[in-house]
Parts: sequence; structure tokens; C-alpha cells
Amino acid sequence: MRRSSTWIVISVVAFLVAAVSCGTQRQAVRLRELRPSVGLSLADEQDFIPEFDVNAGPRNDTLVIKDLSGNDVFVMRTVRTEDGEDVASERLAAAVVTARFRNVAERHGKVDIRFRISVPPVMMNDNWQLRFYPKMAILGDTLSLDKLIITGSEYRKAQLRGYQQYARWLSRIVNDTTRFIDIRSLEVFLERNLPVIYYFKNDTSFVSDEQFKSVFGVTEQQAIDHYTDKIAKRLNEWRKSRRELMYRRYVKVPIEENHVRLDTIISFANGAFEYEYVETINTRPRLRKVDILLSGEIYEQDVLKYVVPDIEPLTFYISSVSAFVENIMRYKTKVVERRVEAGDSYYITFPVGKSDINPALGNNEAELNLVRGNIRRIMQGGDFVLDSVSVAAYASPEGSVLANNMLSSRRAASASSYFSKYVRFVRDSLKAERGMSISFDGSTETVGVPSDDDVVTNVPFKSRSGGENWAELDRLVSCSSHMSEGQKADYEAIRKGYPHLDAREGRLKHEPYYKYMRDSLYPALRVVNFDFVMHRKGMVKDTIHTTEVDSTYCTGLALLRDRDYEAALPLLAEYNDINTAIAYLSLDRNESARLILETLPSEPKVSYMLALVYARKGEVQKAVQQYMLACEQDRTYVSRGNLDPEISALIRDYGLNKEDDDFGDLGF
Amino acid sequence: MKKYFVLTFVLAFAGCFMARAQKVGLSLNAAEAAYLGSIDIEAQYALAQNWSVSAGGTYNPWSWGKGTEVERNRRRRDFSLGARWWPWHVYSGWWVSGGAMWQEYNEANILFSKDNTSEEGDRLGLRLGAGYTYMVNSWLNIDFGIRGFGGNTRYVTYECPTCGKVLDRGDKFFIMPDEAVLSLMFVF
Repeated sequence: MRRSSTWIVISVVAFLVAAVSCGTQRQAVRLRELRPSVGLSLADEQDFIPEFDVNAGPRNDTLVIKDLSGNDVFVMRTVRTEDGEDVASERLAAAVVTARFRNVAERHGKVDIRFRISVPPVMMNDNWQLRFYPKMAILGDTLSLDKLIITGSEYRKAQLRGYQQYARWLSRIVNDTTRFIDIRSLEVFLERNLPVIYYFKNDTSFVSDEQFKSVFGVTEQQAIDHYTDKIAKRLNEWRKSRRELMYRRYVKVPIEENHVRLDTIISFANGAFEYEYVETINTRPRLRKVDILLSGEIYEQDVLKYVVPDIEPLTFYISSVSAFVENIMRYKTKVVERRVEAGDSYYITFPVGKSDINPALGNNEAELNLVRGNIRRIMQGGDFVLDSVSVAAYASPEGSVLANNMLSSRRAASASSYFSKYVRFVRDSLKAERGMSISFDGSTETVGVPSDDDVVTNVPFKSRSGGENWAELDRLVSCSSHMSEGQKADYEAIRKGYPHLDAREGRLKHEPYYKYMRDSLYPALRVVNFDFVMHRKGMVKDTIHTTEVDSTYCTGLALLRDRDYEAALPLLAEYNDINTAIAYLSLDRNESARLILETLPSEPKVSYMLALVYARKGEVQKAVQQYMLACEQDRTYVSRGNLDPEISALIRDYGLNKEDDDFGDLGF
Repeated sequence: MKKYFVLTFVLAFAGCFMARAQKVGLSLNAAEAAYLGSIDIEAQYALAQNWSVSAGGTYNPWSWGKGTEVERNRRRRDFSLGARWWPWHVYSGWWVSGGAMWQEYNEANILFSKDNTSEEGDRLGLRLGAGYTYMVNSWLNIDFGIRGFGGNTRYVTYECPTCGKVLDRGDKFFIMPDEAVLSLMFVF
């Protein structure tokens, strides 16, 4: 009796399994016979602008606007009858429209591509997984979008079973290698033969293996090696090496996580499956059109059961107001002075109490080379003519003011004399270079006629005594990190309390910081200043005004063309022209765009953009008026209106441009 | 200075422990005791990591069922000298043993006997064995193993254990299983 009931249960289970299997097979056969495809269609329109809702009411059925002549024009929803007459119409419930393209507007440099994937019931089975691969053809390139995966509940169960089997297998791998050591035996062995190690077993201090051995020379490591189950350890390593292989064996179809938009589990009763796919892309120059392609496959575990036949692609036309960018070249005025002055200080060391320049003294060689280099660069350079050099020598406060003034005067004169010789030398060498002579038939001619500025004249040097350099000392003291704030205040008090310079110097000598000043600060006071007075070669007037290209505007314009609106706006903001308005419009800053556009002279482009602004702000009447104004002035805006969703909605709602239906896309 | 003192102390302490080793093993074979009450004792001394030498003896003075029709005797007195080789370490794990043994015996109706005859004599030969030693703790092992014995015996065979009729006498070669080892070994 018991045996017969067991057989009945087995038979029922076998029947059910066979029935399910047969059902799946039957559906696969039906799939191959019917060869169904997947629906790829445009998603419903979205309210892409919060203020602008194409379906929101109430919306007037009839608008009164003014044309170019100022006459009232009535705009209403109409239909054209068979005899060509337009009659008013009412909007009825929507019918299904199957379109393969859509105009989408760019916002903030981005575009949302929305489409719908519809899967028929015949493709649905609990044992199957449907994989869809959307692709985007853009600017001659094809990019793969994230996959869409629809998984049957039984399919997913089988997937999870594989993971469980793998996890079970994985649990046999031992990660803690100490588990291969017979710890009990090892401890007994150590207690007997290596008692030191054993008694220190809970101590973390490091004991080298060689330090402690048994009387027979056995180390702890040898003991550990012996009591390690090497076969089990090797078996474990072998298992570890097979992880990847076993993963593939158990998990035949891994659950994908990367680049998957959706992996949903569905228990397929009956009915279709629909998914609305939204892909946001960054726009770029010359991007006008995006094609969406879709392919798909059906799998039963790792077996491909069906390849979805070719699906007609969808096309999205990208409209952008950046098409209105005007190539405006802006210039800015620059004032150029004829006379130019440049000066610097040089630390030329003089012998104590003397004014001779000795290149071998201190760092003189390097400093003198710097002055010589500057003189040569000015005289040899093509831009400036050296008119004169003013030389002033300064002394530190040591000694009397009178003596220091006389000494610095002599030193300035000495420096002037030294470098005026150098200037003559450079002048002669330049003359030799420019006045090249060539002999023809025994006669000598000078080639090239130099201009007045090319004739290198004598350069006067004006020397003067700078006196004691107290101004520089004040600056150095205030900046000194060596002197305390109290010492600085004390110095300031002495400076103010002793206007006579010799008395001030005498008073400072009693201060503890005087030695520091004398040793560290005074040497920096003994400088020679050179002021080079020049004029621009070939320039007669004292000042001239030139114009040069405004590079800021150029950069802003380039960024606008590249649709990097966030970066372009700060550069264009101050110009408040049509390009600035385009930047605002692209960033949805409609009120700022309106303020600029309303000040610009009326032209079709401006009217059209104003229509966009008003449409976005919900001011429908103004929007229609501006749009019609633009169309009246320039018929290309008739077709342009179809590209921008805001205007396109107006055209649809109010039946605009009926007489221009034959106009094609004029290339926006 | 203090650091060096502590280090010296620790090393000296460690040295004391290092010098210590358990080299002596003393075992009592429980399997022999269970089999007709033989007292089988063996002493071992570790010479190297893999070698120990041993000396042992068995004593059994008992007669079972004395005066009955089937008297069982396994009376014996033997003495052996030998060595063990431990593949890993003395007193731990597998071992093989070998050595010489002298045995004086009187046997009747013991295991593998075909009739009620009795044999006595002196055996001298080589004893070989193999086994495994399980370390229970630091001072106790359990020794498992088997041994075989082969050599020459000078024997006398009687018709029965209690009668004096001699059936056979002489010298002969023998080879036989000697004993099962199930010993408690104390390690010092």
C-alpha cells in the first residue's frame, strides 16, 4: 500500500515537471514560428519645463495678437476642410500616434532621450531571461547604453541555486591555515621537548627559531611543520586554485550588476511588459540627431533560445538655441604711452670711504653683469630706444650725514662713468652691425638707410647722491623677523625723537639691536639705483589709443559654441548682447534672457527667442505673437518652430503655420 | 645595565629548560596482561632525535585450568635488547623496532594450538616490530604496535600438558607473531 502511494507521488511530480518543461518548449517553438519583435517607441511627452505644460489648462482657445502693421489677428484651433477652409476645432481624447522621431530640446547642455520598450506576452516565460541592448548612434559613433534585463522567476531561482551551490563549495576552503596544525599534539611535543617555547606560548615577545632548540636540535618551526597536515593543506590549495573554474561551473549565468539599467524579476502571468528608458546625454557641437537602436535575446539559463528580429530605430532631433550664436568680434581700446621708465637697485660694493668700482670686490662681478645685461637688452631690443640713465647711490647711516652725502655722490658719479663707457661700447658694436659696407667696383656704399630711432646716439648718465638710506632702513626694520615688536617700537620712537640724522645714529648705537642692524641691515642700504628712461621706437605722439580683440568675449563665445553654458555665462554676462541672452536661455534663466532680449533691436532671431522665453514662462499670447512676428520676417522660423518643443506645442495647439506645411527642415 | 641583567637572567632561565629533556620511557604492555596475565615491561632511553634503545622482559608463571582436561599454559620468561627508529622524533609518532630476544617457555592449548600437546624450550632470535605512539600528555604515551619473533628453539614436546610422555625434542627454526603492543608508556 505504502509502495503504491510512493509511486503515485513520484508519477505526479514527474508529470508536473514534464508538463512545465513541455510548456516552455511549446512556447519556444511558437516564438520561432511567430518571430515576434519588441516594440521600440517614443515615450510620452514630459513636462520638461516646470512653468510650461503643454497639456495644462485652462488655455484660451482663441488668442488676439497684433501683426507687423498693428492690426489685431485672431488665432484659434482649426481644422482644414476638404474645400480648403479652416474651421474651429475642439480637442478630443488622444489617439495613438506612432512616430519614429521626436524633437527634443537641450537644457543646461544636456538632453533627455526618452523611449519605451514594449515586450509582447509571447516572449514572457518564467524560465527565460530577456536581455535588451539599447545603442545610441551619435555623430557617427555608436555607444552602448545600459542593458535592460527581464528575468523570469524560475530563471532567477536557478541562478540563485547556482550561487548557493558555489557558496557551499566555497565553504570547504579553509582560510585559517592554523586549522591544518594538530595543535594539541604540537603543544604536548613542545612541553616535552621545547619547554621554554611552551611556557612562553602566551608571550608576544619575538623569539627567533634558532635561539631555542630541543636537546636533539629540533626547532619550533620543524615541530609546526611536522604537526601540519600537509595533505589537507595541499588539497585546500588545490581547491583555492579551482575557485574560478567552479564559479563558472555552478554559476552558469551570473547576475549582472554593471551597466544594467534594470534587472527585474517577473512572474509572467500574461500581458506585456513596458519599460520607459531615459538616457541623459551631454550635448556637443554639431550634435543634431541621435538614433536609438535596440537588439534583444532570450536565454534559458546559458542557452540562447531566440534572437529578437531587427527593430526599427528611433530618431531624436536635438534643438538648441546655441544655433543662434552670433559671431560677434569685440575689441577693446588700449592706451600706449611713448615714454617708458624702468628701474632697479643693485648692490655694488665699494671699498670703505672710497668710490672706485672694483669688480673683484664682494659680489660685484655678478651685480655689474646684471646692469650690463639690462643695458644691452634695452639697446639691442627692437622696441625701445634708451634716452638716459639716472644713477643714485645710497649710503648706510654710519658716519656723518655730510660725509655720507659726499661719498654717495662720488659713488654715483663713479657708477655713471663706469657704465657710460659700457653704453658707448654697445653703441659702437651696434653701429658696426647695422652699418655694413659692401664694395662695388672699388667704391664703398652703405646698405640700408636707418631711421632716426635706429641711429644709436649717445646716452647721457645723470648721477646724484641718494644720501643715507633711512627710508629703506625703516622698511627693513618693520619687516624684520629678528627684532621684537618692542624693539621695533623703540626704533620708531628714536626715529621720531631724533630728527637730526647724526644724533639718531648716535642714539641707536646704544641699543642692543644696533649690532644686528649694522651687520645685517646696513649692507642692504648701500645700493646704487639705475633708472632707465626710454621711448617706444617709431612712436611720435606721447600717447596713442589702439584696439585689440577682446579675448574674454572670444573665449566666452567659443564656450557657448561648445555648449559649455555654465562656463560661458560668467565671461559673457557683462556684455548683455544676444550671445549673453543665448547663454541665459540655455541655462533656463528665462527672466535674465528676457531682460536682455527686450532691449535688443527687433529682428527675427530676437523675436523667436522671445517667443521661447514667453512660452517657458507661460505667457502664451506674447509667445505666439513673437513667434508669428519672427515667421513673418523670416520664413525659416516656420520649420524651426517644430524643433523646439515649446514652440511646437504652440503650433500644435493653435494650428499655426498651416499654409507653410510644405516647408521642409531648413537646417537648424 | 638593568636591561643586560634581565636578559642574562632570562637566557640563564631558558638554558635550564633547554637542558631538560624527557629521555627515558617506561612501558607496560596492557595487551599482554590481558592475554593470560603476562607481565611485559620495557624501558627505553633516547639517544638521538630518531633513535632510542630498549631493554625489556616478560614474565608469566601462570597455568590456567590446572589439573583439568584442558590446561592452558603460556608460561614464559624472556629478555630482550633492542632499538627503535622514530621517523619524526623519539616517543612520538611512528616507529619500527628491532632487537635480540631470549625466551624460556612452556606452552599448551594457547592460540593457534591444534591439539592438547605441550611444548617447552628456549628460543633465541631476532624480534622485529612496528607501531605508532600517541602522546596523551607531557608524561604519558599510548604505544600501539605488533611484533614478530624468529630464530632457533631447543624444544621438547609432550603428549599433554600434565603427562611426561615426550613426543619430540630437538632444535628447529621458528618464525611467529610475538605480541600485540598496547602499552602505557611513561616518559621521564
